[in-house]
Amino acid sequence: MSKTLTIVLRSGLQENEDPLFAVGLTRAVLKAGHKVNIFLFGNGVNLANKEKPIEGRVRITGRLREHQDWGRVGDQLDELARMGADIATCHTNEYGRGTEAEEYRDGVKWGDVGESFTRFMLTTDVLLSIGH
Amino acid sequence: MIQSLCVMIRRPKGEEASTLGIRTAWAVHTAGLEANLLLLDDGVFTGLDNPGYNSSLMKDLLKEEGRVSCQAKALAERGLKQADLLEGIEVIEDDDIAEIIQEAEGTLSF
Repeated sequence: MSKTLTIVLRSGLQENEDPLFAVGLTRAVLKAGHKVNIFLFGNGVNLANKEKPIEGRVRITGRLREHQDWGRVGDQLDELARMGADIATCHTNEYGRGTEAEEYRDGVKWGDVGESFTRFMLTTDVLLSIGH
Repeated sequence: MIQSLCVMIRRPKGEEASTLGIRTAWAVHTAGLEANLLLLDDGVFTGLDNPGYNSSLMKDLLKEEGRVSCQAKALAERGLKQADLLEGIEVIEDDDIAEIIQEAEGTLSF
């Protein structure tokens, strides 16, 4: 029987491995035939927006760039959404970070704790908080 | 479906986590679901009558019959008393905390 996991992700890009863990767990749960909601909260909202391409030369050495790219999981969020994950962000936390007007990734929807998170709760079997 | 949520706050005012915890408890409570807000460790400072958003929203939660509890041990370790907390916050022992967590269908830690 299919179950629904809701992840509250409170860590953003680069600060730790929480987003990588959340993405890996979500992929595994979806592949097992279950459903996953992800609510981006706190610094987790740093994952919500489309990245802007760098024009001109990237002034980062190859090995440092490889290290930085390792922690960028935005494309994987889009992939998880295509696999069926429902991903929403907290616009209030974005407002506090000055990113609320930025364009969202294809896989991420505008949201808030009062509407999106409580809506997730209504279909959740397992609730998991990931963050520091 | 999760109809009852235990929200644990372990961080004080000044850290975003405390605000996220109060907001989550408020959102769940006003959505008609059951929310139990637990103030643990440095989270007990969130129960003081501080100026600003956190205390203001917690007062609203208490006024709307939201349940807020504070860990007795953590309160005493910080030299605080029940009288220092916002009116309506219940001071409870660790056994009671375990019971609240056990009875909730979901738990979030902030």
